[in-house]
Amino acid sequence: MARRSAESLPWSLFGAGGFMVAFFFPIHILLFGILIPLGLIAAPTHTGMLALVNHPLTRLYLFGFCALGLLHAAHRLRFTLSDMLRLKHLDTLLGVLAYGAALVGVAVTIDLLI
Amino acid sequence: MPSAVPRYRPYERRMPLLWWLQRWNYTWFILRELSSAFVAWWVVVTLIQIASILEGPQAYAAFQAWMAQPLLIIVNIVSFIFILFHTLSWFRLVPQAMLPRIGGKRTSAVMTGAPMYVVWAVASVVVACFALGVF
Repeated sequence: MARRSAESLPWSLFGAGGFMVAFFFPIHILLFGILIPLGLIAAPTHTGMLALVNHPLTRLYLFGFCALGLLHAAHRLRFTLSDMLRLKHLDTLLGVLAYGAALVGVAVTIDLLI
Repeated sequence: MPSAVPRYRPYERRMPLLWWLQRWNYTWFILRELSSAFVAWWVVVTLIQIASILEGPQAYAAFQAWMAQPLLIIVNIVSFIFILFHTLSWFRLVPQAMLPRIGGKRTSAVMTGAPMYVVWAVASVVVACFALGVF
């Protein structure tokens, strides 16, 4: 059995987020970002959307959608910026900024959904 | 008095700032990693969407008018392309990372990858049905 490293928590959240993004983000963007704004699909009514958002399972799903998406993005952006712009010496600062911003986003999500 | 043992700085190879434009492989890698910026953007959009739905019909209408601006539609088409890129590369990479076995034998990348496309399709249909009020 391999020993777990200190990176295992961010790494598993990154992995879970990767699946969340891969499975669920394309349809959200296609519907709410492209087809509905272009008028190709009728926009869902406010009543329907409110009933949907008020369902506990939808809230759980939306929490996973936002929180895992943010943590995934933070993990990747941190290493992308550090590699792409040669900021290895600022690695700790980038980590604090990226995960910090993600945690603020998660807090906003919790505040919104509870 | 002779000087102390000189201190050496560890050798670091200087990389040009635009190293990731030198080869297509590097550029694809950076583009794939940059898809995460669009993930973050879309979480922000979703949070604004939820907040507007919870606030009331007027706020929801304002959200829809905001999303219908040409600039935002363009940004979202670009986001969609980047996220698709993430999805396809994720499905290709995961079988290599997970190395699943069936009956003690390594399964092929196709066998591991194929079910993920099915899950993706089902997930998309389910979300679309709920969002558009079919269920």
